[in-house]
Amino acid sequence: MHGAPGEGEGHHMPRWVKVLVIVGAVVGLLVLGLLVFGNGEHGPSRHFGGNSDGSSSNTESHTPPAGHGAKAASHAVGVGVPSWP
Amino acid sequence: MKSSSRKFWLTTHITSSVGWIGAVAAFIVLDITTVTNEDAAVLRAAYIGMDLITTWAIVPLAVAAFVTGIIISLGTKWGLFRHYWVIVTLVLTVLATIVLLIQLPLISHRADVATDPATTDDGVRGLGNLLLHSIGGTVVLLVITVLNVYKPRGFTRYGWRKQQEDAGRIDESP
Repeated sequence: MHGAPGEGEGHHMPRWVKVLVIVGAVVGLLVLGLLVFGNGEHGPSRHFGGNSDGSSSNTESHTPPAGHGAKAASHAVGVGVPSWP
Repeated sequence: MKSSSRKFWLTTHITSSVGWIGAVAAFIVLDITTVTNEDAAVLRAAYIGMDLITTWAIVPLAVAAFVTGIIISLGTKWGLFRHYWVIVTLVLTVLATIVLLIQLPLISHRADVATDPATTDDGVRGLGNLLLHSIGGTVVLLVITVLNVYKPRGFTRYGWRKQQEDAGRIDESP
């Protein structure tokens, strides 16, 4: 599929790298735009304590867990979650 | 690096990398379930499952893929900074892992909320999804896989210089 590295090539940046960098920059700008102009509606912080649609009022009292959710879950509801290390 | 160690690390790297994609695929199935299903019991189970998959499969496999990738690149002719495809793979892996770690508390938090008996069914239905992140992550992982398989040509300046040095050394040898 490919030869030994470095057969007859220079050190110019290949086209595929330039394309990938441009695509990455566009995606990065989109994400940045969401963060800046999306009124904080992107990112993990919006999920903690937010209640924009009024349907998740019971999630407000919860804070991010100190441990892992699944372990607490097995005790709270009795779901058969194995207690892994 | 000896051939036997190279094969060991390569096997570990391929296993963890492909396993990472598989674990994310399982995560996406549960993520889609949280979007398409209205049954609170199913939703609660899905959020718990997402947390378990992330904590015990995706994160360990991501770390393993990252570490073994560095070991292989440093221990073989490819190097870490000699070829563009290796650098791009490294950058994408680091970015994917960082986004994953940022999302980790949120996923864990949702599992806690979903399993809390005090949370109403409507509360569980309003927890939301991470489809954008998980599908975006899968695309990144597929790009990494393609780069690792095809290994597109392209020397960095450093890689080109090292290659010239190696070639000169061979020419000078009797």
